[in-house]
Amino acid sequence: MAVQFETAVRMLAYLRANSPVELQTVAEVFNLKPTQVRRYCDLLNEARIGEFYGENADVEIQDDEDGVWIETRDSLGLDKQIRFTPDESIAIIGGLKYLEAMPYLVEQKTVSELLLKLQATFATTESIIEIGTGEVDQNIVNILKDAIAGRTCVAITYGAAVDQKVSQRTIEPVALQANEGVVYVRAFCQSSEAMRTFRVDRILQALAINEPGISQDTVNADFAISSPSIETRLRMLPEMLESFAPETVSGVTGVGNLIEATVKVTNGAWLTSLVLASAGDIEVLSPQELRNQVLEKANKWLSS
Amino acid sequence: MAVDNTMRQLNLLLVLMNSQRPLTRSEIFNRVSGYAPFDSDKELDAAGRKFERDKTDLRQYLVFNEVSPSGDSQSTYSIDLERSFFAEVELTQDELILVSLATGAWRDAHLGQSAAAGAIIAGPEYRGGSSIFTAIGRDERYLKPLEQAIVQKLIIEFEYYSRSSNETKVRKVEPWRLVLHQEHWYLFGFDYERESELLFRLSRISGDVKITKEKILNPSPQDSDPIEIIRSFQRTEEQLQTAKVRVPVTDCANLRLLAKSFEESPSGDILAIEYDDAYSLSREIALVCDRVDVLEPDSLKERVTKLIDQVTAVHQ
Repeated sequence: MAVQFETAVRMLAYLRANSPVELQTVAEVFNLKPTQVRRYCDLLNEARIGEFYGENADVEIQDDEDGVWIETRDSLGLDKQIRFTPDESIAIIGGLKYLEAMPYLVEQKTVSELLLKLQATFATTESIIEIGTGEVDQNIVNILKDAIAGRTCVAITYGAAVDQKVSQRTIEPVALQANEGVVYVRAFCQSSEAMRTFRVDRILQALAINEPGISQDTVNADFAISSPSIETRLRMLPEMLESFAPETVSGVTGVGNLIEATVKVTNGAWLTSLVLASAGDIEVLSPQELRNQVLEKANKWLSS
Repeated sequence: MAVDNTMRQLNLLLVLMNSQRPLTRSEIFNRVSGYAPFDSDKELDAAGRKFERDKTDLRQYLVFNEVSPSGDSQSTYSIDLERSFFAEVELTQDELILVSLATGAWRDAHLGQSAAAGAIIAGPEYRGGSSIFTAIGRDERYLKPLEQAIVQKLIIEFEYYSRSSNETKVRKVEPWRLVLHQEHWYLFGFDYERESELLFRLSRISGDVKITKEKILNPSPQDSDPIEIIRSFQRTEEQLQTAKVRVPVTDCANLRLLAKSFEESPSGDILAIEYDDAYSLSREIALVCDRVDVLEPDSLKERVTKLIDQVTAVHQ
């Protein structure tokens, strides 16, 4: 295990400021395994303010029936955290700026005030990350938030990105997720009788229904996507890879300015639509059936 | 070895923090275990080199006061406590949840690890304390070198594919900011080829980003808004135009989401869509080209036909 100066210093200050603290909590804060935290504690006990003075830090791990606790009686004056490094500052400020860019999810004013409060802890207050987010209907988000808090249902008119069909559904929202600036709602869909993820900017209408959900206790907020099953081979500009989830892409090879890749998709109609909108930047190499579907749809437009 | 180095550096910090006055190098050598022995000139030189390395390492996290009144051997060292450590910050519960969300947002390995330091403020108890989840920077391999080059204010070089010239060339750029817009990441910086500020889409970079040792000459312009630059670049019309398209009932959701109004007709719904970016709208129409009619304007219809022609050209 690599022992790092920053982690050691931060941990000693954290232990002193929070003593006594559960070992598991320390492991979570520092993203370490419990055995690694024990190793750090052993090392910190050897930390001292000098041969001349001789005092040692005093960190004790106590295993008892209430769990494993760490008590810190002496941190040799190290009870405040060292300031965040430039990398840490930028990552945390960037995370907060990301939240600030979505006023429909969190209150902008609260984030701005928090950034001001935290300025003294940052090595740099410069924000090098700019976030632009799409437009989302604040009223729809509010209806979803209220339903999550009250565990009630919402009737939505939804436009599916897969086939662009519009449907009416009653959903029981569980959580909201902002993924790369796009807001999704995870919900139990009564129409499908299963958990589904909906893009909030594809909800055409939402109506609060003040009825309790039927499945809230048995669902979770896992945003995992369903497994894609159709395997295709595509030739495209490298930037078009962004259109696909990274875990669905394999076998990427370069061909001049283009690449070829094997991509698994859940819906063939979605892929053919994407290809039609790509202005020739994506070519379906296989299966032939999907290639034919692209041409059929294109010819329908050209002959109209 | 790494443990020894960490312990020596930790002890150096504790010695300097607990001293009532700045210490000379020889006083530090006598108090901090890990520099000895120094019975010979060779050993003393080795201790000196360790100390120089420790100073360099610790300066990533701490602010040193180094005073040299009469040459190096008499230099004294202390830690600037005020500039090295957090001031006391009192945060409300809502603010702690926000810190936790910001800390957990990054999916990028480098920035995610850096942001994890925020957990020492928020603690683990606020993780999952909200019904909102955040995710940003997923699988974006260039965020780390670009962030580091921006922080260090160093010029970078990388291979970049230009759509306009259909060429991949090495570009030399002064990096300023990272921009996320409509699910795409961009680098905003000064481009030496065009001698102007420019946005580079990260997905068009190939190979590695090389961080040079050259410092940037042009500071990041505070009055430039890269997101507005992207938006203005996407704008094709000087004034808002209105398109009319006919779509089947309960279909073409992407166009319905853009519509300002619609009217029912026997052959489908007629949507009125305002736009100033004909390129994006034509792509949306192309998505559902097998079941939509563009009623007006003709210029938009021609754009869609051009897109579809390009698709058929590569598939026939």
